[in-house]
Amino acid sequence: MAFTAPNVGLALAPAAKARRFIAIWVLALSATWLALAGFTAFVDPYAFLGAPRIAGLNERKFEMAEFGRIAKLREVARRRPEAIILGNSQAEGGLRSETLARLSGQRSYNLGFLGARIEETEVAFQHAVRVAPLRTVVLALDYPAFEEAGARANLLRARAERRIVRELRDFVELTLSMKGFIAALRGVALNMLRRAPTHDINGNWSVREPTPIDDAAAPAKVLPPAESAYNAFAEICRTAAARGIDLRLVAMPVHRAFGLDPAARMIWLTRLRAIAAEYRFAIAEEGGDAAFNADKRNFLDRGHITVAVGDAILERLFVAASRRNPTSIQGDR
Amino acid sequence: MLFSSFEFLFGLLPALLAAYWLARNRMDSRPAAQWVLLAASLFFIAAASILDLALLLASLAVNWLFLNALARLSAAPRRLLLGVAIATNLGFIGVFKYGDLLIETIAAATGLAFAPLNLPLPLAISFYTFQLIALLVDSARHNWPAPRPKIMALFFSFFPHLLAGPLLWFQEVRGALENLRPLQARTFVPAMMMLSIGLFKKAVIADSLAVFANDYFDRLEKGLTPALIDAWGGTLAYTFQIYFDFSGYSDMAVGIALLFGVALPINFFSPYKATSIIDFWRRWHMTLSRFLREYLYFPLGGNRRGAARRWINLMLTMTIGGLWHGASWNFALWGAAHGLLLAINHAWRGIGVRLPRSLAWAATLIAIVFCWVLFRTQTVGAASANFAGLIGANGIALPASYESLLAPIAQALPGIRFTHEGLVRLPEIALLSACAFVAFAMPNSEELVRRDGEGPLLRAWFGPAFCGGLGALGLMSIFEPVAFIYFRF
Repeated sequence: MAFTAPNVGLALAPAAKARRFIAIWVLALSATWLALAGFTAFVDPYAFLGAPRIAGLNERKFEMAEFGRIAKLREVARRRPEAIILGNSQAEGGLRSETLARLSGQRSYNLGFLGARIEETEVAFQHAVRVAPLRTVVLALDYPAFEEAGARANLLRARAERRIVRELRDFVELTLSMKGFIAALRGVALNMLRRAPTHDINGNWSVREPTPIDDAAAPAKVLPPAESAYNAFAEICRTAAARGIDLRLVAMPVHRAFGLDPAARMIWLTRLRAIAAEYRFAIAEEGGDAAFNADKRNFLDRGHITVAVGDAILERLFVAASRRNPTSIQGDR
Repeated sequence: MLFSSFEFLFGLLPALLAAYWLARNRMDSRPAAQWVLLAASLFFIAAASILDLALLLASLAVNWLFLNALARLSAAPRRLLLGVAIATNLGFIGVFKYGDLLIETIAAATGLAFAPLNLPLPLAISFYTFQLIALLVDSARHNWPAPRPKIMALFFSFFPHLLAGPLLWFQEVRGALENLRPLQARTFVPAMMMLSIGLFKKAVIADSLAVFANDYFDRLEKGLTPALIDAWGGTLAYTFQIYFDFSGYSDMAVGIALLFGVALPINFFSPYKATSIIDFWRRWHMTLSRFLREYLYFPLGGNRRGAARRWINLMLTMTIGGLWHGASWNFALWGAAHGLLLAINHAWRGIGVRLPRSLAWAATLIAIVFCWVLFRTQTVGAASANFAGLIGANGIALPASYESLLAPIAQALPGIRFTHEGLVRLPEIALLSACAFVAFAMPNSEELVRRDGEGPLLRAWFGPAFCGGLGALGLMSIFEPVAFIYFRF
């Protein structure tokens, strides 16, 4: 048969060298870890530590798609914008903070998060209220964002409040880890190659790949809105009203192929309008008509508007509408 | 709890070392040190599931009663009781591990509907059941007295070897467990070296490969028709992943046990340098090979009853060995394939023709790689598609992003196409090349940290510095641990 018995014996280091060898082992381990973590901290690929940005080295951040939430919370605290855009990927990719800055005349930042639920958006909003002199907020309301957020909102809250355990875990995961180090190497390489990151410095999701819209595709799976989501929306309105913040609300359109049930959307929007009205806010709506929703030129993919449509939405929010009594922009393109 | 996890490396292990030092070095108490190790081992199991712990303790209690009875009986009734004891253990593992496979197979064969048992697979059941059977057989053979319950519990629950071996004989570590040594710098050095090397192999190499290999095989199960390069890339990724994963974990086990002065046998000795399948099984999962030989192949008659019977015994041993890995027919098929290859290898030796070493190595490696397909794929369709890809029946496809670079080659060689579906790109090729270099050309852990103190890493300051660097890279990679492949075997 092919098998053999393994060697069994007790390993021993030369006695005289043993203690010195342990010291060298500890030193090498610590020095290697420290050097690699130091490099990661210097490059700061997740914009977690706020390291100085050096052009061609670490100015552009390439990990925003995965860890954008942390970076953006930090950026808001550093930049202290007066105007912000809130919402999910519809806001992050469709609405531009530069356009908001031009229209409002205020320092602006896009605090939208990919895949954000409204409960996470509420956490981001409360954080921005705490750390920045907010005057204007544009909140993009998207039906899929009203699914229950569950633990995700708690995670973001822990990060926004910079709870020590969460802070330590993030520091370890993003700075002391191999993942952080590889992200740093990748970041330096892509900066040197002058590649464009997914997100620009103002928080906009800037590099987006259009996806052809297939009319025959199966409808997207979207859960009905959760009660906790409505509560989070109410909390945003309540805080904005209490602080005198100019809150501009807009219900975002999706392409017909997204498969959203118009009746369900109407129930959702009616409920939101009722909540907003309690605090004397109103909700503008873009693309409520069938022709707009069927026109593929308005959409990057079936769930996201183009930047041109986003700019038009912001224009109308600020030019054609007033805060307390906005004109409906439904079908007005 | 995995050895390559934050909780273990920064929680349980330092706490255990401190408690052990207090008990053994400071209080100079062997019994206290044994209780410390036993408590830590039981906690290690309970951290996975209390049920796992309860099942292990129940199994140990029943087997301890068997061992006591065996020690008191004369030869004939002892043999009978040994049969009952082995059947009890096989029944235990049969119900928990193979019950559903049996039910599904009978249902498929007869067309009748049976409800599956859906029992959870107890942690390390294959490992400790095998070792218990070995202890029962050896006790009956040599008329050993039953071991002391504490030492027996410590041996079977001893956490360094619990999850994935090495598979041990009770007698080979009994002395070390009964006479636990104080922590000392001389054993600490090679222990930390083995731990560092193992952690690097598991957390850096195997877990990096897992991303690629899992993606490839997931797509394969969903109907991917892989072209030549993708098929080889994905299959080689798994070939290296399972080696670095398992051997890395084994190295860590050896290193951790050594911290407490317990020397475990090595489990791998550069298996991908093997120049024959016989050679491969002398290098791969060596302690399992030892058990299969002693408790299955020899009792079946080994090679003493003619060539035909030897081949049958080989096939049976390897098929059962394959099934030991998991309750699925693909594992049995993998084992049977190795049994067949071993039989062919013996027949080839009988002819007396010797291949050049490099050719023998290449042929062995290709055979091993093809067998891993059976081990990894879940369905016949996926395995067939992969085999077709490996022999080029699905054509050759290159990533579309390299089209401008590789267009001249594609024009010269008909049949090459460019696709956006391609999985193997430069980073994957670089990773596989690095793995190939380590597996084929580098000395293994045992050679680097030789146990007589003469290993190259134990001679000069470079050794601990090198291992410290590897340890740092390993520690940096543990924050997203990928489950150990053999974890639930």
